[in-house]
Amino acid sequence: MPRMTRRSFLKRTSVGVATGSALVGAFAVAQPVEAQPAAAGVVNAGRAAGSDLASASENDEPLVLHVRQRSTGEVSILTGTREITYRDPHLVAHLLKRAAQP
Amino acid sequence: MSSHREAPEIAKDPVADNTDVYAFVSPDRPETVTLIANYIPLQEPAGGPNFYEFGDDVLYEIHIDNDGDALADITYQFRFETEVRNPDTFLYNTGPITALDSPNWNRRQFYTVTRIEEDGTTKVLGRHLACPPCNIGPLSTPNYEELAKAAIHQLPGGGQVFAGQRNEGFYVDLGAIFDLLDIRPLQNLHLFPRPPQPGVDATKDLNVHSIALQVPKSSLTRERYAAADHKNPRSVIGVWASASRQKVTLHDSGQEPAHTGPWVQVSRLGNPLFNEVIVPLGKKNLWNRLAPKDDAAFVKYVEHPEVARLLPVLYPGVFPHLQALTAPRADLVAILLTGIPAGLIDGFQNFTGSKPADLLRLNVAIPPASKPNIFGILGGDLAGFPNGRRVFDDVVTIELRAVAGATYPLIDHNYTPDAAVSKLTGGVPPRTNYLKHFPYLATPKSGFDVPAS
Repeated sequence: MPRMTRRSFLKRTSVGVATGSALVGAFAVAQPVEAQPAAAGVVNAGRAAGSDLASASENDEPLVLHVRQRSTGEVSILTGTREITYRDPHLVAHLLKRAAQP
Repeated sequence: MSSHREAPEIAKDPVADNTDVYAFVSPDRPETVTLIANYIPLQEPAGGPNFYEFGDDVLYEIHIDNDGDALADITYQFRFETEVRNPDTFLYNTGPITALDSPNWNRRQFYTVTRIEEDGTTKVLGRHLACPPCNIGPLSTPNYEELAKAAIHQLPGGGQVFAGQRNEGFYVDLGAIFDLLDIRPLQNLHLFPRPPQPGVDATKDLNVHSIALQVPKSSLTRERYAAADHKNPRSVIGVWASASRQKVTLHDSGQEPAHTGPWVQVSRLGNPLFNEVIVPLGKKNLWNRLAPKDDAAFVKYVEHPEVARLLPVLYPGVFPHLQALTAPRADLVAILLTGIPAGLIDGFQNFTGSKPADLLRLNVAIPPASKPNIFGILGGDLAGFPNGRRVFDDVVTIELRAVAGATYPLIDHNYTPDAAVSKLTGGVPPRTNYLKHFPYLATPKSGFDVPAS
């Protein structure tokens, strides 16, 4: 695994490529958003996200979805000390539909 | 105060509120540098039964920039963990706490120290290191000094670390200074005059939580420079501290709060009083969330500080030269944002380059003073603020005088500071209870001895 940069370690946040198989359900077809240039050598976000998702599931850790921008379908997954941002208009539309229900 | 409750948002989050940062060549171990970051301001010593403690949910950090880019080349991270022995009592302690492993001490705190290099290399320097208890009183903490001494932990590579309660080291007449910049000894000259009075040390009986680290100089300098020559740029380090919280906190009914997401900085501090009196109210929260590398946006507030405009108004006729001084304050920019270049002060420089950033800049090649002057460089003592900051430095007076024009002759030899500048003072003498050894800040006041500060 390539070494992380200082900043990537300190912030423990990565934005970038996610492997579809590492994610579940709707996220398998989500398109990752390059919200900021990924630092060289950043750990594979998808693989890390997958393991984070798995550990969150195993440890009952909270996993939070944050719809960042409704108009573009930008959604973030927050778990552990990570945040991964995707563009998934279908998921966002689905969530908004759910949120609008009484 | 230096940075106590200095911004609206962090004032509501004391556990993460970074109040003071100190950086100095250790007077008793001059081959080392001591770095101290204080948090949790204005602690009333009698604040039981839930006495003060670090936040298990806060990431505390001390950062060192040694190449002038305002980015951390070295970061020391501190993470705390609280352990409760008996959840079925309301008591912090069920008898005298005579040792750090005393079974009478019910709520203990431990921490991990990790050093992170610029390239991402991490090294855990210490795990499960014990904090001392808070100083409760003679029945609960009968030999507090020994407890605190036992909480000094040796680190690999010749360093030592301490994290726990201390007496507040920052001295200031707080009640006066924020009452329209009233300086009690000079209040006969104020716009609303009253007879002069001695200053009141508002913080002498309050406590704070300190993270103190003492490490060899060469473990902080660029290329492990041994700091033999003060003129060498590698002798200068920039220091700041911060506190961060995770992005999301979930409050679920009947559950302990849960935290998730990346760390987000909520507090930071380099120079004393920067966010407190330089940054305007509408930008204070923002400043706490930004990094020093982003401080170019705040240069204008240093070049034209509000206090410099207020002094001639609040002390009519006392500061005519300051009132006429409208040029950008390049002297203050040097002191607070870039360091002082060589050639301005004989035998001294702490310049880190032209990139403006609020860092406490320490030239580690300047040896400790044999006779320290609390006014630091303004008092002819090159080992004092703004060359780093020692626990006893009178930073309020130094900064007041600098803002009032005392340092402008460094930029313009034709400028003469107003006569009153040398009379400006924070209003109170320094404490006499500082320690002569690590961690230097004094034993915290006990709740029994100071039931009401």
